[in-house]
Amino acid sequence: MVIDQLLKMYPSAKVVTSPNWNDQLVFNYHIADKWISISKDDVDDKQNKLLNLISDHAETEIINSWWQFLNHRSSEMPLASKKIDKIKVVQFHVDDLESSEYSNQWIRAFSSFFERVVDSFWVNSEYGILILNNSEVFMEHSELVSTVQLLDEDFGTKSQVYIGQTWPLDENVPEIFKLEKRIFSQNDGDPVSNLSTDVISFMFNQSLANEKLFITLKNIITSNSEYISMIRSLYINQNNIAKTSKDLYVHRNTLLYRIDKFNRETGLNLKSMDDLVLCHLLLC
Amino acid sequence: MVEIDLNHIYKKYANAEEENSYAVSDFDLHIKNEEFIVFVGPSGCGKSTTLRMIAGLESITEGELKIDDELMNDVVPKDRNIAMVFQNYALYPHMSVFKNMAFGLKLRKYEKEDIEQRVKYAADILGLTEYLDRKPAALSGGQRQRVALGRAIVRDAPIFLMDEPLSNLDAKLRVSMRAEIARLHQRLHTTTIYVTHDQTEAMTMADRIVVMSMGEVQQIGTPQEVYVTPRNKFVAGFIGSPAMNFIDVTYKDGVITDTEGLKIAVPEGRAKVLEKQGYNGKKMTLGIRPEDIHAEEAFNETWPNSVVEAEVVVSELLGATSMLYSRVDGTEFVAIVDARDYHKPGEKVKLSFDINKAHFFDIETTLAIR
Ligand SMILES: Nc1ncnc2c1ncn2[C@@H]1O[C@H](COP(=O)(O)OP(=O)(O)O)[C@@H](O)[C@H]1O
Ligand SMILES: [Mg+2]
Repeated sequence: MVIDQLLKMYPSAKVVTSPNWNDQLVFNYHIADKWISISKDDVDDKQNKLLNLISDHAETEIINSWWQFLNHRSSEMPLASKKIDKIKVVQFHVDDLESSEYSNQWIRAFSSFFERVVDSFWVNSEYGILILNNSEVFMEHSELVSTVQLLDEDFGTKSQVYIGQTWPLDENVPEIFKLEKRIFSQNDGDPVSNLSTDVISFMFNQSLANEKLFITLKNIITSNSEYISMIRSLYINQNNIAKTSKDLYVHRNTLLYRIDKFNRETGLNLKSMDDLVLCHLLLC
Repeated sequence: MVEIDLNHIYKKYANAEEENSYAVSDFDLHIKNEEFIVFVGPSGCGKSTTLRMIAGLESITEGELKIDDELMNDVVPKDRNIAMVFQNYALYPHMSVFKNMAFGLKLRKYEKEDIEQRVKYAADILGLTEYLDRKPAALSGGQRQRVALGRAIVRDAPIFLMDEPLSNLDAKLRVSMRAEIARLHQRLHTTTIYVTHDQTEAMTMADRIVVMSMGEVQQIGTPQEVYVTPRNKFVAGFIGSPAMNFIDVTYKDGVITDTEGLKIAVPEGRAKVLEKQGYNGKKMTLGIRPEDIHAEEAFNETWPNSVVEAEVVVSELLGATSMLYSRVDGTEFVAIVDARDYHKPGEKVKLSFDINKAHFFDIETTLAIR
């Protein structure tokens, strides 16, 4: 049904048995249990997004054994995993890569920043995975941000990276990965994210964000853009006034004055951890 | 030749909640060929946001960005021909210095000889020639910073954007790299926009400074202009170190007084302006730089009506000069005086305010009264 309609709407659309990911001229969608490929010329950005919404993920066909395992398509753990007891899955989304030649170089360059890469592969032309063997010391957030920046500069791309947690490699991994994948897909543009940076907003946006109470409170605390950076910085610096004032390049007394002013205007006291967490949550 | 026009640019982040909360508003600037422009202002005032809009890393909410008269708003970063240097930067850990600089060019399919020539030229300028074969891990912090600069230089782009490139270096290295970047500009003549929160950096490097606060441009001018004729109280307080003293006063018939017992005569020329602008009998803010408060006998004798009897609260001897944190009853201010006029805390000192160099600001608008 759907397929018939799509074939009518897009003269270039074809039902194929398995998609050719290397063909840069077409988009592939998996809809109603069939693969359908449509010429990129016929699909604008918006339509592509819509088609992807009804497609149950164009990625499903790649045969990488890790991908099969992560997606419950094979209960067998990949061969290489015999000696690995913990893994970290790094997901990346790369926009504007020019061709598959650059895809290879991009993934190689990105991998070179990690020490124990077990496998690296593209799932489709924009989305890919690194599997890392549990590495004890990991790059700091700011280093990861600069790394992404470096690659984007050299490749002319716009990339986002999600750093998964370290998990024991067992049959629970696919279930866990499913959520990591969902969290990453909801990130709105941060170049580097992980569970800690995204979990609060993820949970919050699942349920409460649209309640009048929260919308109104959010409007109140964001009435002044100075407050936003103050709350973020206080939160990051664990409410340490000295560090926060240094971060914001303001005098300690100026910061204390602003916290006071905020208290008078909103009734929320940022020196209290409960209130600070609430404000931080509202900014997510 | 390259000129950059920012025409009434606004930025609102997608997650900015309030209707009117712009991270940057009405940013309007024309940058001339080969100019070295510095954006300066406290953290969060919108410097990086503006820079990132120019680079194409953030979208422009409203307004026009033109490079050589060509509209750039929707041009992707890699087609803007701009090289950027950030505060935090990474280098490929397994590539040599040479390859780190060459990699971007190689991806852009430059000829091998061309790449070699560019990298060698950049290495020469930056004093990296003997390190070309080393890996980043075998370099010092300053050398790594130079490689990051080198990566920008080899692109031979007509525009450099630098976002606090020196903030992570220690104080001494920062001063020498500052000079190095200035020298680089003299040599390459690349039109440069440099972002910093450090007013000293701005004052020493810029052809023109753009002072920002809370997303808005406060003043645009040469270092001398923003220092000598600040447009408002914010600029006056932000530019100059130690910062300008501000005292709320009332002007009446040639004399300013404050509620704490300060009383100073205003020279005729300045008094005339204040009266003409309708400030006779009104409150205003007096701004005076620490270096415009004097302790020399000679000065006090020439301007007996601008002398105040102050008490030193804290004092610091800094070599040729000394800083006197002083007080006239409840009014506190800082003076920088000759080291010979050093006084210990608790001592009385006669200080004269050079009102000819002072500034007056409207209490409400905070604009300078001229
Ligand atoms: N990605 C972002 N999303 C939402 N708000 C942001 C983002 N980046 C910066 N801001 C906000 O925009 C304002 C200006 O920030 P920024 O340009 O980074 O200032 P500066 O570089 O002068 O320190 C701040 O209030 C900051 O919190
Ligand atoms: Mg910044």
